[in-house]
Amino acid sequence: MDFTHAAPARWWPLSPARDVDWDALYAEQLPRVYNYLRFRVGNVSVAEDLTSVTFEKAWAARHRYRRDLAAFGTWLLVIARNVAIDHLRARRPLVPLEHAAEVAGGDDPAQLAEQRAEFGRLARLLDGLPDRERELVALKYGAGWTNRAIAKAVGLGESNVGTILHRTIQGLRAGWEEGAS
Amino acid sequence: MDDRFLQDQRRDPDPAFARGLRSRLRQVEADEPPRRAPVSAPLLAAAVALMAVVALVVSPGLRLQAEALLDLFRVREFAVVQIDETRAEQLRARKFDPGSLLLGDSRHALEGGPAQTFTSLGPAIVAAGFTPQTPEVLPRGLALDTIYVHRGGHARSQVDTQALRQLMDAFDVRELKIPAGLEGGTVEVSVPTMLAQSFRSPHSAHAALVQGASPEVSLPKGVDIAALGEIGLRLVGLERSEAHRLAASIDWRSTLVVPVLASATSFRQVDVRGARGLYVETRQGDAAQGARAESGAAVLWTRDGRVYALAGNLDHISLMQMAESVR
Repeated sequence: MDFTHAAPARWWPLSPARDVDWDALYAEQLPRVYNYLRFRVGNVSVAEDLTSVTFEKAWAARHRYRRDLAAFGTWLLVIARNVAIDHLRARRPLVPLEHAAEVAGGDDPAQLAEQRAEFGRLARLLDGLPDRERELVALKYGAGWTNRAIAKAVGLGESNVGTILHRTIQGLRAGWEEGAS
Repeated sequence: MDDRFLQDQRRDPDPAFARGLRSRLRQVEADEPPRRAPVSAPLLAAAVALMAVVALVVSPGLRLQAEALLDLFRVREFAVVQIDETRAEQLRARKFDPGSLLLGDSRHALEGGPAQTFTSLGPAIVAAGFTPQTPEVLPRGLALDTIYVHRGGHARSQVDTQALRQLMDAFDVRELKIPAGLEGGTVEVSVPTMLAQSFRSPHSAHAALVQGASPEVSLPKGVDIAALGEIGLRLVGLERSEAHRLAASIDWRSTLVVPVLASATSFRQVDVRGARGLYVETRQGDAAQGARAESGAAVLWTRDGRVYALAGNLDHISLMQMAESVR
């Protein structure tokens, strides 16, 4: 159905996709989704796979999405969260933890190795978190959401989110510093 | 709070990965979504749309009670028209019964009696005759509370258009004529059994998932469905030209036009695991007489011939997560 001839003030435009700068949208949203999933699953290869699944789902349905692109990122993260949930439910020990930090980016082997080691260390710490805490950390530091947005997404109060994150980060930092020493 | 060790772990995706994914997405962009094939079935939704349009008008926006949502279960797709409070009040004042428009007194045959209530799915499945889909994600401490099975019905009647004519006169819809072949023809409406799962939390959050096969409506052969739909659009207050243009745009055989009060609701199109859905939100304080004064939202979608409505007082993301987890 095409409502492009309809009066826009009263009718819901169903064909906005042609006017969207998908390149810009992709460039803006890819790091958010990718980092959310990276923090969520702790593995770069799996995060890339799940990122692909997320975007492919979203793009397949992109013509159904209205012009409210402010909410597009939220919608994308909802898809990503469900993709992650599906993955975690079906998860088997696919990848040894030592491989968890296959860090992409950069050509310097030394830098790559350092990054790999660092993220591997963090991934091990994240792996020890309860699911809810890990989700909050992924939304905060992966997706870059505010506490308010997280609270709305997970059905907790904003102050509750702040408290949980504060406590979680304290624990993570202690483990992080202990691992560094 | 020192969280730099976390902030520092954000990375840009591998450029090769980013390029590869973008390339695949471009391919998706290049493939225009297929136009919907014309519906060949003689069954139509014009009468349903007309009835549903007015049925919803009598409430202040989208009614959130599970039972009321049954009024929506008629079609495979949804579209929205915003209506004025004034027109809604006028229709309410006329105590308009939309079901009687075409079915007359036979409308009561569609009412399958009071809903049966269950506390577990097993007996509800037996009563409903089908296995319902259930949400795998229950936000905010929700738990299954009650299951309702509302048996459907079948009504068949000779059309008497007098009530429709009176309504058109009352609202000064004089430029349109009731489609030829409608008067005296036979209309049939089948409403299938619906199953509603009600979820509640100890902290007043609640949601209800209603599902069932799409009802079917049959009008006399040859009736101009779009013309009937245009009458419906005029009755809910659209201007002549707008109603005419939109009536020609809508596939009345498969699209349920959902009227929402412009002052009371917001709505948007959503994706529910690849299915196009409609998300409607009512805001607190907008409810009018006879309805609950509570903020709430509903998402409607169809999948595999089954129509779903999930409604509750959850926020958008929680409701969508719950809807997307229905399997």
